[in-house]
Amino acid sequence: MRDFWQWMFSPSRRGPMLIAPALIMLFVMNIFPLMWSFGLSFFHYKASSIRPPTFAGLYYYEKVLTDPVVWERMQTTALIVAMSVLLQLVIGFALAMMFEKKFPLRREILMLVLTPMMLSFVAVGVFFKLFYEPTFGLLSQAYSYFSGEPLTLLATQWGAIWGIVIADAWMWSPFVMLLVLAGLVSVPDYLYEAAEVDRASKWKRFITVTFPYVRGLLLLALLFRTIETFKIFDVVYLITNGGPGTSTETIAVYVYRVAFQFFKTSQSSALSYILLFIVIVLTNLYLYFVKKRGEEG
Amino acid sequence: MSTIQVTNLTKRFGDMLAVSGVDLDVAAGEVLCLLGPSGCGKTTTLRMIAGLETTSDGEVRIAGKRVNEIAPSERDIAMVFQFYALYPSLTVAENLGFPLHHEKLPQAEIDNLVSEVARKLELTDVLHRLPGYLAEGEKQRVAVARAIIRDPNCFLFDEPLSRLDVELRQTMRGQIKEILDGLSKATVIVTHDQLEALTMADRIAVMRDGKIEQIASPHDIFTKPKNLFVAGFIGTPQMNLQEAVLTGFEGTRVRSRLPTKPSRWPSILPFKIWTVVAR
Amino acid sequence: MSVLTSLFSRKERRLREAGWGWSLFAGIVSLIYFFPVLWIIMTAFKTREDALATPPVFFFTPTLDNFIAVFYRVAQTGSGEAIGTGMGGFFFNSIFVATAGVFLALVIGTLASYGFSRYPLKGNDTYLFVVLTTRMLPPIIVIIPIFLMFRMAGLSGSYIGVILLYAAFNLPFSIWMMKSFFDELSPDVEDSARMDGSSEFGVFFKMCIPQLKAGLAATAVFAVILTWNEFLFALLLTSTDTRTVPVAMARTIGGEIGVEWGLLAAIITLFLIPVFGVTYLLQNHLLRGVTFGTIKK
Repeated sequence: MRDFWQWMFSPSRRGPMLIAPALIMLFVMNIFPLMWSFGLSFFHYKASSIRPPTFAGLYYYEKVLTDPVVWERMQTTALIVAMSVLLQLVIGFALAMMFEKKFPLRREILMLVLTPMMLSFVAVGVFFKLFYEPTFGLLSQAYSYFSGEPLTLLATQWGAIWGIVIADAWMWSPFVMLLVLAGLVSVPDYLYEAAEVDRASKWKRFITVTFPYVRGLLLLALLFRTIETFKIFDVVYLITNGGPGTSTETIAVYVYRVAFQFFKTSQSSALSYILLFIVIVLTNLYLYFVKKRGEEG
Repeated sequence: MSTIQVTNLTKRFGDMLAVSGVDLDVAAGEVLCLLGPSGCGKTTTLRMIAGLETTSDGEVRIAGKRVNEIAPSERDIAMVFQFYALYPSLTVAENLGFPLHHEKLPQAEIDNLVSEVARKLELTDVLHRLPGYLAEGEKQRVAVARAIIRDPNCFLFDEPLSRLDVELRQTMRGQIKEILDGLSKATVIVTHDQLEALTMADRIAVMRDGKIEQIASPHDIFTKPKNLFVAGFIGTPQMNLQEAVLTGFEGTRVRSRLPTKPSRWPSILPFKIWTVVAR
Repeated sequence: MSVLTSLFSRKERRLREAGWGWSLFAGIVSLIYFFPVLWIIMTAFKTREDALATPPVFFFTPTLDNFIAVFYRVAQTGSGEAIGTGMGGFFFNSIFVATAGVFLALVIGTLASYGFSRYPLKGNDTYLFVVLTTRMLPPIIVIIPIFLMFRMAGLSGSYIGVILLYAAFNLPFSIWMMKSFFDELSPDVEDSARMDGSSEFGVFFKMCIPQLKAGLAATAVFAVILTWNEFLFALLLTSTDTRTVPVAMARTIGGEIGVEWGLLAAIITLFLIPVFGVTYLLQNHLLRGVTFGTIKK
């Protein structure tokens, strides 16, 4: 028995043996389903019917790529991602600058700002929906206090988009803040001192000393948040449910609908794969910059 | 006139006394070395002269003017940092030109000065590189070049050679000394390496525990140390120290004999006793 | 003196100190940012009328009714008896499933990251990339196959199924985090232990693990936080017995009319407390957790 174990864990085998369970688990739970649905996307199949699948080739991919609805959803998603991420970067940076100093109760006050990240999507979605509600919502009441009219934020497309963007940015700006803060703090003191001795103005100090350190992390934040916001589902589903109409339906919500409401299983698979491709490209980018950052540091 | 005067300089960090009652006087063109073991207060003193630390007591005068309350950027000083502090996102040429922006010179003139200084320190080949791609010795030269490209009131060097290997140190010692001789500015160099101090300084101030033990020319520090600490610190190998019993005076010399019994008295006089006592 | 000098000449920058004035400023800004959360917490203490009052009520007499209602409801049957809502059970499920899933992920993940770090294979970078990508996948893509897989395996609605899923869910994160901790550990200690005759197991358990306690703790807690709020998979893969809190929350708002805002707020508040406490304790490791261990502070 002992010999068996020794054989199993001999030095040359050790690496693979240690990694194996993890890879197996990932394979079964992630890769295998991926391949399954990849395979599905080449067949006619509907989860709701009992008809066996028939081969379809690239039919669904073609369908999806030429479907104007899909492109519209992509546009909506891109718009929301752009707005939300931009907002996150700005707010995150501002918050980081505020927390850069060491002041009494810093730890506790920091917790206040970190809390939005800790709420579950359901909580955020539901309560922000309440905030936006025309009659009872806080936002509307504040608005009507000044203008005499209730605010029906979610009734228009732009209003709804802003509603989602604000909720999402509110939740994740602290994330950006953390990254920027790490960058700000990693700048060595002596660089600032050298800049002072060299009589550089405050602005020049920022551009020459601070920004290069922060730039890498900002980029990381940008990429990571873009990938995550691209997948946005819960918040949209809960606040606007894609409405009004379908004007705020992001691509993830659309896929969900196609899969679970229309039961067009193959079609949703094809679409999912295109999404996956985009995500992989973005992840590659993310990893590339992480590596670069690791080498710089 | 480029001078530095420090009177009764003191610095406290909380309860701890880092620098206590330091007096220094550096004339134009003179190189003063602050020499001492780690933690003796030499870097803190330098930083107070630069304005990077506030003073707890005492006065700092640069070019005759009191500067205690003035920010480093207003003191018109140039400093070479221990870690070089080169701006990582700027090329060597941009690094060198950086301090000149304050003087609002036309770009052409800045370029001129940069290439001149680069020539002096053999940096012409690396002008377009980023600091991250420089060898240690090159980085050091860029740091020095950045300091001398200006015309400041004085130069402050914080352990400039400590990160170089032995060979480079030898070369750089000579080079820096040569360059400093050419300009007539008051210079303070902080180091823990006595060889550096002995070769580069016009005068050495040996420090311990925040106080100055002795200020003198390298020759005098070496041949006429004021106390056991300085005597033991300077000289490789270390000076021979022998406990002795004082038996009498003879003009400018003293008589002593080796103790036959273990001495009950703490030994406070070094062997080369005649040169120390007869003053 | 030398201690202080070495502190100041360290490459890391010391934050500039600021006084209570800055605390006040930061505190106010943070409170404004925190406001939505504050509102939710306040709502938890409000009566039904206060919660939906127009104009909104800031000063009110607090009540604990909502909190009680989380766990007990007066039976509709007229006997006036208090019966459990099962929420206690849901809380338990959340804790159980998150802890077990994370534990499993940590075990497998730590072994794997040990392998990745100490016994790098030729395709190491590729493996790690794949590992990361599985985390970045939009859940939509794998949801159908997994759902079907689970149904076929009879795991649908069981504890084991969800635990396995959450383990797989947390695996990429654990691997990346723990690998970064392993990379920091010098192999010299392990080598000397080997030379002293220790077996491989001994090396791993007696040498590596003790030094990584902090890393394990940080990774564990972050994984729990991520799993805590997970919704989509929980929605589809849990039954009434194994349901977790986010799903239960969603169900209480199932009926659009007459959402019990106070009740919901109470659930959210209670659910927030564990995460909040844990984040507070782990503030220092926050950056590492949030970037998968790619960036250390």
